[in-house]
Amino acid sequence: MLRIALGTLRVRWVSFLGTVVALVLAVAQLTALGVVLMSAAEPAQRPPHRFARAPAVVLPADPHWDSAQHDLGVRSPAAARGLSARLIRDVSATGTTVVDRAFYAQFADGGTKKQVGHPWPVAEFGGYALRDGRAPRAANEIVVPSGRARTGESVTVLTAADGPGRYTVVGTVTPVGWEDAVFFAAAEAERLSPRVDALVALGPVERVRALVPDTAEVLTGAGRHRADADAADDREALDNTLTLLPVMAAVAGTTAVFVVASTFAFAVVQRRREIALLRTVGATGRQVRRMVRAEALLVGCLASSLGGALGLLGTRPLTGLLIAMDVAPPWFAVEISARPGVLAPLGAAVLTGLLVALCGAVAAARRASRVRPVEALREDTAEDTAVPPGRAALGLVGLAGGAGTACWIGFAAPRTVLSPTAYVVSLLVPVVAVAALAPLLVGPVVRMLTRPLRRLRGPAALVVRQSALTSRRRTAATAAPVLLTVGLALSLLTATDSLGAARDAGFRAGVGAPYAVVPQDGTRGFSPRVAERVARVAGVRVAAPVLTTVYFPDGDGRLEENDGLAVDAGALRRSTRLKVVHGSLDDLDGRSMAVAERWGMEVGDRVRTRLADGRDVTLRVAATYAALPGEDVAYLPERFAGTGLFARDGLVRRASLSLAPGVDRPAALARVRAALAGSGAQLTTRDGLVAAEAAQARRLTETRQRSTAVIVVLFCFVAILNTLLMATADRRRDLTVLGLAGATPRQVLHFFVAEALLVTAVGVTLALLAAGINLLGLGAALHQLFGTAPVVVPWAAVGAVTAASALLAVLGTVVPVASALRRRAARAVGP
Amino acid sequence: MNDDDVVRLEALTKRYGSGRTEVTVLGPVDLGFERGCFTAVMGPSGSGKSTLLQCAAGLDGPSSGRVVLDGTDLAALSETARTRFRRTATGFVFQAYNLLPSLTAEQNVALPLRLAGRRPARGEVRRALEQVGLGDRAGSRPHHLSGGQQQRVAVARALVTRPAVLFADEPTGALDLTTGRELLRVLRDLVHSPGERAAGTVVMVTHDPQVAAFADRVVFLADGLLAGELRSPTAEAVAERMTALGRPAAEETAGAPC
Ligand SMILES: Nc1ncnc2c1ncn2[C@@H]1O[C@H](COP(=O)(O)OP(=O)(O)OP(=O)(O)O)[C@@H](O)[C@H]1O
Ligand SMILES: [Mg+2]
Repeated sequence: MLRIALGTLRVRWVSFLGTVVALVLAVAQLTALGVVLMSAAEPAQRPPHRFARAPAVVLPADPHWDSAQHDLGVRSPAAARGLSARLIRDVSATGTTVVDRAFYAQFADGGTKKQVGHPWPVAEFGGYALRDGRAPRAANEIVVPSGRARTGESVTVLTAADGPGRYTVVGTVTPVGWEDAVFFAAAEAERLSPRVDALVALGPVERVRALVPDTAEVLTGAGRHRADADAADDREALDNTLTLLPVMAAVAGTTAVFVVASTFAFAVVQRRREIALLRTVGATGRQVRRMVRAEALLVGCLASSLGGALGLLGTRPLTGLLIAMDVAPPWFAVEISARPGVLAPLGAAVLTGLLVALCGAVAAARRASRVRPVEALREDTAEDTAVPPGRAALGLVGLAGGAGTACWIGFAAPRTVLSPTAYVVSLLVPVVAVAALAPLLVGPVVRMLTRPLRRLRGPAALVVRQSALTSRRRTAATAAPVLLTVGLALSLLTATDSLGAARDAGFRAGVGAPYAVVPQDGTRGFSPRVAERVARVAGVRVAAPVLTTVYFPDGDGRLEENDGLAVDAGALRRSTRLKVVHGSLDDLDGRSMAVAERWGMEVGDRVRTRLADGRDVTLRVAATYAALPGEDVAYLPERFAGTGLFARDGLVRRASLSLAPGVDRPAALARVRAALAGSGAQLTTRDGLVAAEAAQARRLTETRQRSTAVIVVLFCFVAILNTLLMATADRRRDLTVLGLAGATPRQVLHFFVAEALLVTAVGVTLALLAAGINLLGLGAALHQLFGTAPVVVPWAAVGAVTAASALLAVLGTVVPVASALRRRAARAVGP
Repeated sequence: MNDDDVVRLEALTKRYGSGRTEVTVLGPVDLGFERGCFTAVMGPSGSGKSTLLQCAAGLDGPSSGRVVLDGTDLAALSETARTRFRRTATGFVFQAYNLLPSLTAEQNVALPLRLAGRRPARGEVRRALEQVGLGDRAGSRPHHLSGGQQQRVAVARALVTRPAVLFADEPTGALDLTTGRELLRVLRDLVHSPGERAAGTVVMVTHDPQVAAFADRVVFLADGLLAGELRSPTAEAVAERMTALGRPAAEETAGAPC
């Protein structure tokens, strides 16, 4: 039987090649995504840097804190507070100790936000040695890497505690790749950053370990890498990659699985005549199925392995793409070696491809072999128009599920649209369901689309319409990739744009002041001192919240962290428009706070609160307000601004600024600009702020969904071309019959092109149907979340995708038809 | 009808469609095909000849009635068992498109044996091809063979299992006169071969009286019902009978050129 299988492959090589191409690309895509995902999840194996020369390092630790479950940049209570004075004293009894602090310290001119301040004494443990000059002793002396400044130079350094400050470079060290340090004298470092981040202990490690309580841990050997800033940086940089890739893999995987299954099924459908002939010659249904299975297994093994190899090669361009789209950090690279992180996803992808190919082929063969032999032989184009009940049921369930999900998201759980992972996957459901039901829907859609053409005199409309109608399975199979492409592009891109627009509108509505002070490019924030200086300009009111963290007891005796903004109550009232649900912002005072409604606290509650510097205070809830996920913060009394130095970096991310009535606007603004000179901050208008903020917030979601769309659409483009090539190459007989009926080659070409366009139109119509379900849900959800938020359809992008699909469909038709016509012409002329 | 019939059709009917659209295209028909006899089935277009043949060969199930083939009641068999039985007991030749384009003539002929899980014995396939005069074209693929050669390969394939009956549905329909005659001679030799041991049985559908004249017996069919038969027919007698059959209904057959 294998001989027969092999023989058929030889004759139907276009169809065979089509299945191979689909499977190779699908498996390659799955492999590449899987391997990159696994590599991103693997901890980067890097040697310790900062404490490479220290025998042991003591770090604050919280046994209950799993940093993977908390937002990036949020410290555990223990880490925020730093090592206590008592612990330092105790450890010092075992031998010499050196304190390390890490804090915001950036050159005002030509610095980067990667610059970090440290006390000089800890430098030697990172392998730093002076190149020239001497160690910093006075408060205004610093040592920097030689590339940054020359010894003797005077520079302005921005710090959270002071804002801009003048320092003299008294020495330089050799630059290192893992950080960009500014070394201060120990006492100055302590003044700038009260938190002790780490302690180098030179005494016997055993004694140190014995002394350290469970709020701290002792790192030695390779574990010292955990104390490096780049360990956190790595995680932060890869966070995007790690959230995006599963979404991409899910969407791409589903599409690939669908395309492969339907391509293999289609290839079998194309061979119904042969299968029927085999049946009449005496092959049992089981023999036919076994033959198809053997063949699919053969092709599947071959193509899957090829796809796996191609996928491994593809990890490099994929990481390149991810880096180019800013989803992965520039240093991200995948090393291909025989380790579980590579072999597991490779094996899974190859196996998935093989199984899916097999399932698609065998399901189609089961159907083909069940048709009675004569029935299949009777007609020239053996055709089955019926959708198998299994597929119909699956499609209907999927469609109902998709519609249900859309309704549920739209009316019961609108917040889902804000979580890219869950939402993007839910967008897939209606699209794939409609694709599965396509053979059923093709009839009505074709009739609807061709109704206006009925009046046309020419034979084209009739021939094309009837051809699409009688070969519904072929029409459905060729329309399916168009449907997937346009449906997914439309759903993904519209969701992205609509969400972005809604968020912008929401943000704009929340900004109450006409001006804002924002950090300059390349700076994380600015010191509250800068805000104070601006506030002293006559006629100017500033609200400059400092980002910090507060910890509330969560009922299980643990602490739950939340972002906090320490801000003057009056300034808060003036500058922001919170949607207050209960209570009033007027009741805010030095002992109360405003919290997000969804945290479940009641106005009047007295909440025991742990501050980042370790203090416990009791705060009264003065007001609750409605906040979107990710935008919920506690508005705290301004007197807690100092805790920002412990929790984060003590910087203001954004200050709002308004002018008192009757103030000379240009003059006041000029004075504000003067006050901001050299401070790392700048003045902007509300529009500028909204635009910048929107760009920032949208960048992430857009990259996520757009990059997913790019990968999926690229794959689908290949699928469109592929299926149409397969379908058209199989229609040499139609070509001959049309020719015999008197159609000129040009007319034949026109028929086929018209049919390709009809198929595209069918795909697009079905895509609109599927995407419509998604967008209804989206519209309802946005309406609930943001009030009046329109659904924004990026027509240009969707139009381009549709046009490209149509072009590929036509190409996939014209190429085989033209070549067949040419061959026929050659034969007619030749001997 | 007698016990020597290798195929017996008893009250055979075939209906298509259901409910109001149901049409009876065949029967009820009671008919037997004798062993060692070359029978032709004739009738106007649409009279149910192909349907009768396919039911008789077990390719299609009847709506009611029985088909007993070489002593086996086909209705008692499952689809798979029927296929297995059919594979060895019958051979079938269609009007056209009989061969798998991907296989050589030899491979096409060996197909029923391979499907039966048997490795073709040496020379077995060659002998079948030689029997139809194509011993030298074993390695050719169908699209390198003429229409007549393709039909002869199909006959060789139908013969290779030494079936009890060979069914042929207008085997000469796509062939010119000379090629058609060659094929018919091959078929007749199967039944009345000078040297061969067991005489074969052939049932052939045609609507060409010249072709029917090659048979030992002609059975006529009109509107799905039996309309008499002729023994040792001549082309003229068959044509006369056909004209009589076609007169009331089908103008097209009456005027059809030979
Ligand atoms: N699947 C089907 N469904 C409905 N009617 C059918 C089907 N197959 C055949 N018929 C009808 O059954 C009748 C007999 O068909 P059949 O093919 O047996 O005729 P025939 O005698 O072989 O004709 P011809 O000489 O043209 O080949 C015809 O009227 C045909 O329309
Ligand atoms: Mg017929």
